[in-house]
Amino acid sequence: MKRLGLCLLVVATASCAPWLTIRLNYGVDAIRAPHGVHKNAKVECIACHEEIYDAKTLDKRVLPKEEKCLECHREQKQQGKCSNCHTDVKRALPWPEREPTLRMSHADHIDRVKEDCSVCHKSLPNPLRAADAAPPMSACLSCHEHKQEYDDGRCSRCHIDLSRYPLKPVSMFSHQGNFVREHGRSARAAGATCTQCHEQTFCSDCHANTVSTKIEVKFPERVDAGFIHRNDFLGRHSVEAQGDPASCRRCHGSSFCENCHTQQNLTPQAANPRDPHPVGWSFPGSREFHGTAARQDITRCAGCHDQGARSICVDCHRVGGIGGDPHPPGWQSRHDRNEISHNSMCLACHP
Amino acid sequence: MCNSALASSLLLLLVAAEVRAETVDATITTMVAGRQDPRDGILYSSVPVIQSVTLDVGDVRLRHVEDLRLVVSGWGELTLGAAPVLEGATGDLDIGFVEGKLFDRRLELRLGRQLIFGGAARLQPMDGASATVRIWRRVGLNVYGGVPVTPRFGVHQGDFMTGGRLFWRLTVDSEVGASFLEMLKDGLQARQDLGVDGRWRVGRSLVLTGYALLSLLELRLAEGDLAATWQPLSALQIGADYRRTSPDLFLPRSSILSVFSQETRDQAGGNVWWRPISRLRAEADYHVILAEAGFGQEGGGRVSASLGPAFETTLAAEVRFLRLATANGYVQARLYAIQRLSAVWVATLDLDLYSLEQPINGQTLSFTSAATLGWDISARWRAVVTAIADTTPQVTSRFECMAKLVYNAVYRVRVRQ
Repeated sequence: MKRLGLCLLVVATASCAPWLTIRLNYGVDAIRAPHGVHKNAKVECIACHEEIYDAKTLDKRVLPKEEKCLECHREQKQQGKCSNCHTDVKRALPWPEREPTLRMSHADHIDRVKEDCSVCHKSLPNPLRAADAAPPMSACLSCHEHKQEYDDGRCSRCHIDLSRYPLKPVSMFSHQGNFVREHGRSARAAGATCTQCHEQTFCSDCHANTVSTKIEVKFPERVDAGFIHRNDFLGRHSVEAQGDPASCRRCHGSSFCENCHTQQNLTPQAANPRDPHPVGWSFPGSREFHGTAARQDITRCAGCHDQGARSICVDCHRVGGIGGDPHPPGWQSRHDRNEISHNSMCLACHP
Repeated sequence: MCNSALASSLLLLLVAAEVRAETVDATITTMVAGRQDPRDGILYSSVPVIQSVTLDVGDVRLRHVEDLRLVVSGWGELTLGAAPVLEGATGDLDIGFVEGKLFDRRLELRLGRQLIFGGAARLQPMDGASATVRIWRRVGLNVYGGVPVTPRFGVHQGDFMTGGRLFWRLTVDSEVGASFLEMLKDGLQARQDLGVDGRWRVGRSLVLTGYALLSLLELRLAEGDLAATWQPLSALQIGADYRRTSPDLFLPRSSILSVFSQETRDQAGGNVWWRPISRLRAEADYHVILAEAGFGQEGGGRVSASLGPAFETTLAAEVRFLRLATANGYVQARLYAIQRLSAVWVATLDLDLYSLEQPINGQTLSFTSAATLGWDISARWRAVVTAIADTTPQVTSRFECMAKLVYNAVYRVRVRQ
């Protein structure tokens, strides 16, 4: 019932979501304010952006109100030349609001650059293209303090949330080449850097072991992605598992294998068990002897026989059993006999 | 399964009166499939309906806490099937945590269901708490503790896990760390590992990574990995790697089978990725395997070409093989194509064939074909229909289809000051 309740809750939440949309109207008009023309006319930046002295965040854009423009351009307005500034006169709007993506206090910077805006704003921004407005990141990193934060990977000191905004990655994060192949190695030693842009939900699509379905099923249209279990992986999974047993074991425990193998009647626990082993499995000296196979790939045995003290191995290999000592060479040098009394698993064979 | 989710929800409710969120990212996916599942030689038809929801509630403002956010990703599934084993409702939480930063972002706390990654933890889902503190300059410490997540099919990995990683971040993409992990299962130590890891960028084009994991219970190397990736040009990447694993040490030490073997597996090889022109990409890899059973080798290559004035057509061919000393092997050949029919329509075709060296269920060939049609209905809605037909060692022939509807949106609630 709990699971059914959870399902219903998820479905109900999902069904309501589209109606929760908050529509934002950014309009279509844009305001022309050619910086070059103003600079050539010897207009100081502060003349139009005077509120910059008090701007501690980028929440509110520090752009001149119409009254400020009209101090110089009143004549054009009176002549009805609205298109001098507005790209869409019929739907003329004030400066559009914009979601800030950075934490930046102009008030804290203005004195440090001695009111010279060009220290950061290397080129004059084009107000019709938002991407041009911000200084390049190299301008920020030219200060020691920000270079230090960058090297420390403390991106959130400046970037509000990198996972939310599609930024063109800078050189070392451009994920060029065969990045997917190597990403595990990088994430293992420098995962904090990954988390600056990627939320854990991004990783969990492939790596969470609770997922509803395989990533290959979830994204069938991504035929170009290097998914592991694509198409008929099931048919060759036993081959892949022998090729790299540890790779499977990173995500799948014994019960994962056993559950399906039992349903396929391959384990002793199945209702109508089939014997998947070769003929010489029980005969010492045979090429297919199970002892040799177990020494070479014990994880394969664990796919069906990992039931602790109830394991079929215990029947023969317990102390005094016909199977003899199963421990590999050198075992006793690493394990004291006193371990037996402290370890309930040992007691299965050493009562 | 829901203990941490409950804790997270309660925490959220407790602080709800004091905080407000300005941004909510939501991704909602509905999948309906008609599937044929083989069970003991019989094909059963089933119709799973999966609903998944991912929410990222950010810009939550709370005094003294920065970057406070709630992240939840969960799903529910209702399966209608002819076989009782396939029927029923299920669901789970993949991710569900609250995180925030304190003391000028020197301390980061996370509570709930989360992925623990890095060093000895490998990549372990956990219900619990983790904290990362910047101790001094570029030296930091990450500690965590909780219950390993028990995934589907009841794979019980342990009752409790704890560990940590001490790291020194040389630059944003170069870091070394030493880590420890202990996991208990049924009152016994399932894992007790000590790890060292590092990633070091040399110049602009060479990246070296290394990792070693020592099992303290067995005093043997569970895993070791060395790799070098050189990218002399943006269009060329060459890599070499060596990896040693002890597969038996991937079994929990509390398993009765863990006392039967002490095998090692070594793998060494390289890979190359090349984009000679913007329309053509090629990649290849080859590794030699030395396991207890003898030598083996694996490798493959893929070539993909983008055609059309706007790169609207992609054609690719892929070949892979695996040969093992005493076990089965295979050769695989795959062709796939992606065709952008218009700005909103995309079609894909995938043909996959492999040949086994030794038959499984009397079959040596497996062939799968899949076709997909995707439609971006609007900026937020996407629909995908997929049809798959195959003949494999498990089934003589099978056909399944799936429809997927995705709603992806960001809700921004601007709070006027």
